Amino acid sequence: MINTKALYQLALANWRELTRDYRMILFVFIPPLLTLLVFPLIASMTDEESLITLVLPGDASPAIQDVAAELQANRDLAFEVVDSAEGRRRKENGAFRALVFLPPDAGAGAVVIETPPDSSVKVYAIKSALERAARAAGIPALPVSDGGGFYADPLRYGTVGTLVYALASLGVFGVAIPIIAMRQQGILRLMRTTPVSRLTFVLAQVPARLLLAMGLTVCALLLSRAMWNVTFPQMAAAFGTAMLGFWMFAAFGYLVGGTFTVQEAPFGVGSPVLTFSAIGGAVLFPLVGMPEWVQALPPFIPLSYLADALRQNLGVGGPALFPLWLDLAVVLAVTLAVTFLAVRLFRWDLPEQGYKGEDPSAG
Amino acid sequence: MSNAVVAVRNLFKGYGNYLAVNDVSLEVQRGEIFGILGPNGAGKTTLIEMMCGLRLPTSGTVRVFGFDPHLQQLDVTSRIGVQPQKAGLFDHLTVQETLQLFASAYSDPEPVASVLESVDLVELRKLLVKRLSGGQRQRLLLGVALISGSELLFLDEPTGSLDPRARRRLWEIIMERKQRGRTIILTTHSMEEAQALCDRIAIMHRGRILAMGTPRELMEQYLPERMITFEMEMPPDEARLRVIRGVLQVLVTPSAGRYLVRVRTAEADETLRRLMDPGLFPTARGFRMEQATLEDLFLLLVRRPPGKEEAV
Repeated sequence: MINTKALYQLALANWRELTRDYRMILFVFIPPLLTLLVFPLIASMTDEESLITLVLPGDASPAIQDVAAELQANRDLAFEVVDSAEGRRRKENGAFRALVFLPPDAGAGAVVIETPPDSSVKVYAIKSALERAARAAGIPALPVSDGGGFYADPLRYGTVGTLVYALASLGVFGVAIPIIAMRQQGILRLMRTTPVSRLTFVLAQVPARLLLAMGLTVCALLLSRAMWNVTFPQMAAAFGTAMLGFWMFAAFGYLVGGTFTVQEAPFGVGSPVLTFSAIGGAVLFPLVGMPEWVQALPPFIPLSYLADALRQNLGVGGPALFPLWLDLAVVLAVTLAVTFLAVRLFRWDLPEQGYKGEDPSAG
Repeated sequence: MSNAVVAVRNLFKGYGNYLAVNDVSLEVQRGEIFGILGPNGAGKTTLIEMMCGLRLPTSGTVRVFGFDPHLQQLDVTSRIGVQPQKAGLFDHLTVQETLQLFASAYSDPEPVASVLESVDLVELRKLLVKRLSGGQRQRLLLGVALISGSELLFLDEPTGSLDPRARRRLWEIIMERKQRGRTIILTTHSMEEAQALCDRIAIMHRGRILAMGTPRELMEQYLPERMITFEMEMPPDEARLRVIRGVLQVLVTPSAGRYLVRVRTAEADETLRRLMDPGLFPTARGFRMEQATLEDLFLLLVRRPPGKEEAV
């Protein structure tokens, strides 16, 4: 049974507790924001000194010629423009670091990027440059085929991964630790003497954390929009997915907070699990090139479904791990199951020492 | 039909190999102040926490308004207000916000302003809980119990950390709630408090209830003797004193040229009549009669050798 008056007052109390304790705000926002900064830093360290051969067909449209001009003006990558015959010759000789074949027109095929097996050229950097050049030339989408392994822009991939990681931290630690602290301080004990139900108490913890999660998500989505061409419908879809994901993480937080009695436990248990999930679930970077057993992990890790859904929502690129509907269905199913467990197993008080003596009523 | 709001039958609570509450049975009637009196570690808190559903009994039954506090938690918590001995509060809420929060849990709470006044925290209402002193915090915890507007209040050592003035104020609050028809169950190790507040008391020691009843009943049952004190100019004839009916003990203490005589008697009226007979004790004067206190009773009960302790 839900007591709406108590729900409101408890939610308000939670908000006040969170906002009046600046340490909590720092704890919630600073680590994810620092992580978000890591990926632009990585991206900025990918200057290509290698000369990239840009093959421009003789019958290229003005728009494609503009793309070529934009690429030549790129400050980070050095493009040398050649015609189709020269491009083919270099390909046959293997005398290239990277070959980029432009189509004659925007709708007349994909850009093909080829690199030799030992090439150190970062294909994602060429893709990013191509995308920016195409936008500058007025082409909204220029399909690219690299014909090789999976390459994803680490900036996009990492931004989504960081959002997932931040939501997971906020959901698991941001929920579990205050609940354990409240139990240790005896606040839950006092609440238990009132007619407030477990469900009311658990639900009341949601709004304050949800607002923080919304804030984090909006920051990440605005960053995405600034970095690549994310549309508003894409942002709206990603926002919905992120909130569903946060619910899943918060449910894990309640489960941990509702059952563990020591504040250090969520970090001790949660940090390794979260780190393993982020790596094994291909959340922060793709698993291409990893051993086969590592590549087989994502289907077993809930985080991978959420990250995959968000990547699809935001058009990060690269192949999807699962269909979008499956991603969302799995996240929803896990969320409901963990929420049910969290409410059932929620413990108001510290565990009592059991009685080991003789049956007292026997005498 | 019983008017009991709380009924406890053969209640046990054990930890490890130790029984903190050992075969306790009692009933608390509607509208009374019932005190559970005992030293630290007697099992008072464990008992009261089982009554309000905070602890699960090892065996035995507890019924509050006829409900099991564990299995029918909502039926019980909606009708009780609890002030645990130790409990946490939200540190970053103000005093007033704390009371508003707990008021929201009940269907018919007392007004926050009146509770603030009752517990003397009006001036501190905007102060964060983390800035309160121990005594102020204790008063706020009492306010949390009072705000429920419940018909049954459980107060676990409510005056434990209060100064004498605050303690007297709290007694007034408790008596005022009694006048409004509330039932109050409190634990204390203060004899003075039990005597001042409680209609009935249970004296607990080592998990057992050693005696239970009104303070008067208990005194008459366990310490019916009175102490008669008087002065004499000459040394009294102790043998003559001892043969007076009811006299149990005679103590004579010389004091500034006089003799202070203390006579413990089981038949105070008859003893006094004989002592005041001028023919028997012509120089006796300054008669005073004293009754033993709850403290004497408490000491009498808890100092009995283990084999002689009898649980009620």
